[in-house]
Amino acid sequence: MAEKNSPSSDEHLLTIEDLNIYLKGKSSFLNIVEGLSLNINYSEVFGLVGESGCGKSLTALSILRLLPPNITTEGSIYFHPLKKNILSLSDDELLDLRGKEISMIFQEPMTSLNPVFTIGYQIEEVLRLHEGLSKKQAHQRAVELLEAVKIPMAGKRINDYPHQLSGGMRQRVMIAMAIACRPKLLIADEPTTALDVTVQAEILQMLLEIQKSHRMSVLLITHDLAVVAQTAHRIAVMYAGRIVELARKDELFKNPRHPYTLGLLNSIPKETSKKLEPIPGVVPSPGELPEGCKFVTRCKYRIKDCHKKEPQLIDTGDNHYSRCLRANEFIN
Amino acid sequence: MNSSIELIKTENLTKHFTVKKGLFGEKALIRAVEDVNIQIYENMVFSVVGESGSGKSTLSRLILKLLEPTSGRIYFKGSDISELDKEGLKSFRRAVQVVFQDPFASLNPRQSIFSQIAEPLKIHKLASKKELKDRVAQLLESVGLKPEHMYRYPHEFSGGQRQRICIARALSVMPELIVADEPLSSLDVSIQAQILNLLTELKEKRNLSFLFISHDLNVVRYFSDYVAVMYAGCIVEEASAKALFENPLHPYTRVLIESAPSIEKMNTPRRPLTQGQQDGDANQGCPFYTRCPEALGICKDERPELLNKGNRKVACFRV
Repeated sequence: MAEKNSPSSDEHLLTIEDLNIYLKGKSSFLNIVEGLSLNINYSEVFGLVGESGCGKSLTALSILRLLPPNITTEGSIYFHPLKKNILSLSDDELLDLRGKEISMIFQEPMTSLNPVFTIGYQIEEVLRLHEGLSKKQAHQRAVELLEAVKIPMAGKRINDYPHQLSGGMRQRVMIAMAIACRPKLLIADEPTTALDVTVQAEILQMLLEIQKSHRMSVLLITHDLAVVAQTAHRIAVMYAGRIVELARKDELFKNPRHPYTLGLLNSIPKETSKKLEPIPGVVPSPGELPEGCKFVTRCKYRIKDCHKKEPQLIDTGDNHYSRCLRANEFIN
Repeated sequence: MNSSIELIKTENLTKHFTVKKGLFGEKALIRAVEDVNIQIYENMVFSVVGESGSGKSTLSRLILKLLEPTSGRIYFKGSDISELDKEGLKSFRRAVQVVFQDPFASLNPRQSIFSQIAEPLKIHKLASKKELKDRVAQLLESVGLKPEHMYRYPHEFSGGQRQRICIARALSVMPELIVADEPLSSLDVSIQAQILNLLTELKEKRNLSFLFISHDLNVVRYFSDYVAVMYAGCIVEEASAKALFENPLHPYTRVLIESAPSIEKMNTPRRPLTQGQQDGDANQGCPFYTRCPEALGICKDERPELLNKGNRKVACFRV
């Protein structure tokens, strides 16, 4: 298991331990995320990468207990500042957690903003609710926040409705709202996927600046390896509901130790025009996972033993974790 | 490249849209495509890159004759496509095919794969009733799908497989040019690489040309022969893929290339080079003037022309 350190370590902000997420089917439960364990440290940008359907977004949603009722969770998500397991918080305690201690931004800023209220009203609402500010104070703070996310003419734009803003500006508003109460953890689920590259660069840069100045941790969820390469400190790669590799960023890209990570990196077109080596096949659906290692059907390094038993996520040295029987052979 | 056959040529191609703006319906003019002159040759991948709203999709729809230009002309193998008669139009439709971004929306959910791939064959009378099944089987095999899947329906396939079906359908009529509008954007990285390999293989085997629209510069660099960079409806730079990526001349091209996230450059901090976004209303001066890190006084008042610079074209006073 990854980093099964004592949950009382000073560095850790959030400890997820043995998280299982089940989808209730007609007759059975599908295990969508299985045995996921990780730590997020204070002021750390942690990248969670994987292809669609690997369970990365569900993991994020489970941290804020935002999963729909037909999805159940097991395990623990320990939030150190509160010294509590998020999965056993009461509804009232959850209200204090969401938006204040942990907040979240989503891929599509238009659907996350309420179209019938001004952006100012929506930011002020957070401040009045969690911080108990007066209307005037909240307005003042909201302008400051919009300035912090570099919205020009913040004092004027605060009265705009979401439809009056471009996609990049809306995502800035979402970030302003998310950091309003200085949360200790910001979960960003594909925050720049819907944006153009130039805007993406601006938003990520700004997010990192705020992360540093607020000493906030960020859990960045994305399918884009290049985005985490330029933002995260540590990265976990997910496949079929499991973490298959977890390491510091430089480590992961310099010396990937799981065939899936290798495959993903080989799928990105490089400057040279040699033929790409894609991962063959497709991700199996949660009900049809193979026996043993879940990547075995698509893996070109598979051996007989891979079909028998699912490998554990083990430290291959230097806190570089890999869920592969042959992980040691990949070490440079 | 001039020795090979010219498939598509556009002359001062322009498309404007009028939209209602605001509550009282004041009309605004959107210059989606402005004075575009391009040539696409046989067996060439011509890519168009740019941010959303730069007019790259409008350009592709004009070339597909799905939109009528406001002014300017499009020639297909020398004949003006706006003057084609019924027969001519039919053969143009056969020769120029399209693959769209979203393979979920571009297949009919109520038709089997067989009937969707066979339909163009029937319309263009390219196969007899007896041959149909074999032809569809061949096509499915050529895009890496199993022939026995032909009686399945679209919902039984994954995104990558559906995109393969769309490609098979486009190939069915033996086109000369495939317009591919963001064909990889809705796919996962590992599947993107599979489709990209397939497109490369098809290009070589079938002597195909592509008009390839994408915002992913890694993919464009890998797949293209020639690249045009669009900004606010105008082409601001065009060059061979190698020249463009190794030595971008236009400030916007540089901004685009340097903004793209990359694993190689992971430890050099990305500095956003511009602020703001493109403004389609600017009808005077350089369209990139408001965001350009290197703007001069003249850029505000005069629009730079797209001029030859060696074997490439750039529209910038600085160059």
